[in-house]
Amino acid sequence: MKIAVPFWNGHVATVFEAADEMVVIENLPEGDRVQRMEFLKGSSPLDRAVHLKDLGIDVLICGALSRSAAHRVEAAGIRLIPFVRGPVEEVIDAFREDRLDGERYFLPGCRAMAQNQGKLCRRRRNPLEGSDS
Amino acid sequence: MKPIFSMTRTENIILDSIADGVFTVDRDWRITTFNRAAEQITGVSRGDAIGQPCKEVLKADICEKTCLLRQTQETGRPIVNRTVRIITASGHRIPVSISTAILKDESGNAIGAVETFRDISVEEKLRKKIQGRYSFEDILSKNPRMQQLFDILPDLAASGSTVLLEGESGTGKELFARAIHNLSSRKSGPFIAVNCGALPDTLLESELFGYKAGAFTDAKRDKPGRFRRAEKGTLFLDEIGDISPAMQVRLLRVLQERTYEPLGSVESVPADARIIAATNRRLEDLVHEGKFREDLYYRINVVRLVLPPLRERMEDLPLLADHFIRHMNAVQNKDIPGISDDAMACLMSHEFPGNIRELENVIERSFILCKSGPILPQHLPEFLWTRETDELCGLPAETPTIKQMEASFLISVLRRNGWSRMKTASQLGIHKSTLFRKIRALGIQLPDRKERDKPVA
Repeated sequence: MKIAVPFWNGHVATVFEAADEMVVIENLPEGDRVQRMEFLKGSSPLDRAVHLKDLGIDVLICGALSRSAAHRVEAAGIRLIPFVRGPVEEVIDAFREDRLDGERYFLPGCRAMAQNQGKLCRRRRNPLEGSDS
Repeated sequence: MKPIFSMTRTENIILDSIADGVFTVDRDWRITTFNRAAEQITGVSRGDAIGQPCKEVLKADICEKTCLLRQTQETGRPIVNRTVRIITASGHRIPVSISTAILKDESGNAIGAVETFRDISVEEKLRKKIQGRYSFEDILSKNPRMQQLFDILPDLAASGSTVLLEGESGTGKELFARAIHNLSSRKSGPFIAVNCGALPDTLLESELFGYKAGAFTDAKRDKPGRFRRAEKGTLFLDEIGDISPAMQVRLLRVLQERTYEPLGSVESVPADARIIAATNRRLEDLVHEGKFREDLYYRINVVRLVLPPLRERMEDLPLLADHFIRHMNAVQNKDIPGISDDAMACLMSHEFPGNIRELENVIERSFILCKSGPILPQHLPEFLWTRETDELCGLPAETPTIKQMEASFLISVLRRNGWSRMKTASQLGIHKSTLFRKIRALGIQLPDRKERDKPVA
């Protein structure tokens, strides 16, 4: 499974549409984690969604994003966890440990929207431990 | 958290009665006050916003890279009406106009900053609606001749006929060709453009028709030509007036028989592409000069559209300049509000031999020199500051006499109307005999009849 987190100064970038870089974390079958940086190509939501798809991203954890961008990302078959904030490492750890639904990880006043849009509450297991990597 | 200053109940009521969103931040960029309009625009409640970093509440596309509050704090100068886009708590991306200022205590020490912002979605929608009246596909114009072209374009596109576009370089021939393609039943097919004037004969032939493996030394495998790639779509042949007589014969055959043979092939391939040809020369003149085959001319000239040069549709210049400024603002992440009256006067007095492409280049160049505020004459290329135009651009010049000014004005209007005195008189709202009298009195020399009678469209 590949997870992408657009970032700025070590924190999740506040606005997905304005982010230039992202951390891509890949879980290898043998249990190792590979982490690398990628540039987010394209300025339109569609171009960005296509780029994420081309990179084989399965999950996008990001800050605020517009509905049109959210639709395009989800239409590309990528699981979306939007309106997230915080230091990248901490957010990734929280995601791995299935505790990314805490208030502190969401942009102010956006938790409900995040859960509705990203369907966060439907998670049942730690995705990094899954066999679909 | 400790507030930077306490608000009285009256002050809170006043703040909440303001239609613009208002928030203040302390020196750590954390929100200390957040009025009702700010709640409504951002979708974030006051309780959620207070104490949070402002970028996480406002969620503007510029917050991280070019924070306006930080700029204000560093420069000490307020920012007024900068347009940015924010994402609301419900996921809507909306345009807002932001202004910022520093907050100081009684001793004049900076204790934070204040930001006001206004939702300008309605204004933007209205502006787009007004622009929509003057746009067609990607073409902008309110010129009557262009509007006539817009009117016939849908029917023309639906007809499937071969189209010939004539117009000077930079008048938007390819934009028209794309518009015809997009409006036609072939819109889901490809739009393939070839600049015939840019390629030597042999290369053009292999580009258009493709070749089979072994057709020549380096032809290791089959290569499809542009005709093949444009199948079920549109093939745009630009600069058709520049092709050689031999190439004209080959093209004529394709247009007549609707088949072609790739180089090295003995079998004919059906050509299922709509042809749109364009030229910056008058093909009819080339036919008269014997440089272009008459039979090919008539094959291509099923429907002919003549695109007017920019100097004959100067009423479009502000519209086009505004379009390019908005485009450059978006591309270069700048906020140039527009062009000053003096700079516009400079542009209006220029002939624009390079047409709209030249205007686009002029605006792009002005973006390099113009750091903020509107584009001024000094941001424009120097050739626009000639002595003939500098008095219009607000630059010092010798004062012309009233007679000279009147003559200069009449000449420019006559030129714009293709030297037609009837049209000029009509546009100026004066009787034609009055115009004739003025032309004589001012000693204006009209071009000879041949030049005058040349159609401008």
